[in-house]
Amino acid sequence: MALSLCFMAVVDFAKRWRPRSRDGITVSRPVILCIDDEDLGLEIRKMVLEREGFCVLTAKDGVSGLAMLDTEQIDAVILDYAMPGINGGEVATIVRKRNPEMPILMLSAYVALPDDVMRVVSATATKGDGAFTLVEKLKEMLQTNASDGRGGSR
Amino acid sequence: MNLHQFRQILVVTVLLPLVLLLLLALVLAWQIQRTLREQRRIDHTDRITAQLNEMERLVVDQETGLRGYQLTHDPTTLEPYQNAEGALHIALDRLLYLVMDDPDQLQRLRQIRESHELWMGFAGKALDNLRAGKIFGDTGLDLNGGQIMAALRTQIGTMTQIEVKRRDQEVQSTNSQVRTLMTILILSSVGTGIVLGIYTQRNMKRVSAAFRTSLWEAHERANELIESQQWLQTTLESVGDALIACDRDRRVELMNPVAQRLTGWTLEEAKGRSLESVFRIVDEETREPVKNPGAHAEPKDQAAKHYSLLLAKDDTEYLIDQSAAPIRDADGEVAGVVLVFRDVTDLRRREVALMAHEKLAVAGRLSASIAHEIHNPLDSVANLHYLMANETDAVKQKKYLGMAQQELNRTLQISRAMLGLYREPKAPVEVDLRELLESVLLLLDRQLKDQSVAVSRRLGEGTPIQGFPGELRQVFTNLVTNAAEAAGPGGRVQILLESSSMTDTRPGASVVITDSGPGVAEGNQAKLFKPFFTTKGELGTGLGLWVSRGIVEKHGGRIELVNSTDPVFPGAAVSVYLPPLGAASKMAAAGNHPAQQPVA
Repeated sequence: MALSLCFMAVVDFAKRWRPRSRDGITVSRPVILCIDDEDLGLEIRKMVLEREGFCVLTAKDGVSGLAMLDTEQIDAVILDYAMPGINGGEVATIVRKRNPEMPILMLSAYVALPDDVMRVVSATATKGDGAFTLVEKLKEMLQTNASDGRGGSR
Repeated sequence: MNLHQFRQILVVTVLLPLVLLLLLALVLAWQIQRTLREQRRIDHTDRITAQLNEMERLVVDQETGLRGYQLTHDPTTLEPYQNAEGALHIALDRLLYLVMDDPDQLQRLRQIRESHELWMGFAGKALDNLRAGKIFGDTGLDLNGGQIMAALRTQIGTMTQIEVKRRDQEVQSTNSQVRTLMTILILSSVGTGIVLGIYTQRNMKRVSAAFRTSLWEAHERANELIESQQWLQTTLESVGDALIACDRDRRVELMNPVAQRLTGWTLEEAKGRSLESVFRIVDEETREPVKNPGAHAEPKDQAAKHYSLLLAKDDTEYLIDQSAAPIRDADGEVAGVVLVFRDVTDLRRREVALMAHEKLAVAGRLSASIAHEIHNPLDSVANLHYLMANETDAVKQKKYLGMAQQELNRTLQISRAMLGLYREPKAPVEVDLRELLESVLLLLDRQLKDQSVAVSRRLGEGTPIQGFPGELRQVFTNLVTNAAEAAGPGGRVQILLESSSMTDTRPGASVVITDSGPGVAEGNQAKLFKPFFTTKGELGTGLGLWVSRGIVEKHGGRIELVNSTDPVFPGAAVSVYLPPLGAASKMAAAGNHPAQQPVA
């Protein structure tokens, strides 16, 4: 299991590897980490975001996602709320502790999320709202973060 | 006072006067004896006096005879003298005998005899002189004779006087003795009377007090009996349950008002009739008459309660819950039977409502995770639609369409499983338990993932069974949810499906659900199947297992809960046995059971 996760991470890394300019001349694509336990849903979401010009990393659960946050340069996180093991809310809290600036988009099938989760995340979207809404919210979130230098559009 | 004391008193009351009278009689006899002895002594003295008088007369006769002869010389005049001589001897002898015990008088008598002999000597001389012809007597001699005679008579007089005095004394003594006797007699009579009186009165008082007490107690007891009878009567009339009591021949003896109302028979009409004719009951489902109501007096399993239909006199039907108990007499012999029953028509309605409620609740509790399950594929489909809209590459379009189909299939599968909880065929159908369990797990998948409970399943080729799939889905949804909650986060649940024979000869299907939780407390195992019993506090309704049991038993199966001995799954093990196809032919028709009514 862990081995396959590592393998996937390596594959992902190879896919998104590109020459990166440290002096800012080359405009880099934002790196988005998607965490969801649904295989197919995660794959489709990745395709949508890649078409919109994002670089997408995926993790199937909270633990491997947090591990990726440590090793990778990540610009935003899209989290599924209901996951086995540690749920999206707990992942968000940990991410926020490590990096107060990190934009976090909480994606959920549940209409109402707990208040403490709402306080921690930067934005929320409901599953089924459609790809357009998701992309809009993601972009808005990244923009807000870039302008005031702090994670959190709400 | 008890009977023994009472007998003692009776015996003493009879014996005491007897003893006292006997004592009195003895005293009297003794006194009479004494008096008689005195009397004899008086008689003795009288005889002595009489003899002394006789002797004096004889002596006087002799002297007179002698004088007469001296004066007349006529020998005839001498006759008294001669006659008296013999008689005097006899008198003297008698006197000697009579005074033998009295030395003083004996002495006197001897002197008298001597004096008389002396006089006889004088008289002999005087007679000799006369016969010799001396007509004129010797005066000296006569004088001497006269003196002797005087002394003799004095002596006799003295002796007589002594005897007379003695007699007086004896009479006096006798009199005083008679007086004493009378006194004793009166005193002892009075004493005895008083003693008897006092004693008898005392005992009479005791006996009468005891009698009064017994009488009062008997009265009290009679009152108590009447009161307790009235109390029992009131109790029987106030009891909310219907009650019929029969004698040993199963003839109705007593019915309380509730029983009279439910059966439609009044006590007057029903009394003496056979129980079967008054208490007509048929099986709730088969409508076959129940034979010998109350014959099986042993208490039935509370959870497996089977109700009966009571047909009243006017053929009104009441659903009743009945129980019976034998009436035993003092020797432990069965003297009759008492039937207690109660109208459970309303209770049944409430049960129906509860079961319908629980069915909805099962779906309701699942709805959040099901919504999530449906939302996920729908989200994917929406995303694919977005991708397709801007895609010109036919290969990619085809790929997206394939993915969308995949997600749609999943949605359909879930919604079908969801609908399966509601939709129910009218009659039992063949059920593939493996498929059914898979679909249950599909619905529960999200919930189980959220709870971080790992489910391992070993679903073998279960024997096909017959039943209502929706109800069975409800049962297994319930059992798996329970197991997952018991296992807790990180826990494990195992689901086994295999063929099992349990009690039937033909093997049916057995589903065993075991968890890694703490197991069930010993005392709770039986309670878990009762309505409203829950170990989950506010989170549980306490209806799940109760309804599950009802459904499984309706399918002719059994459900049991024990603590597992498996070290990997040490918690509770719930096993559900369902009979094979065809064995559950007696199953109720659809719609007859509350859990089957369409609620969707």
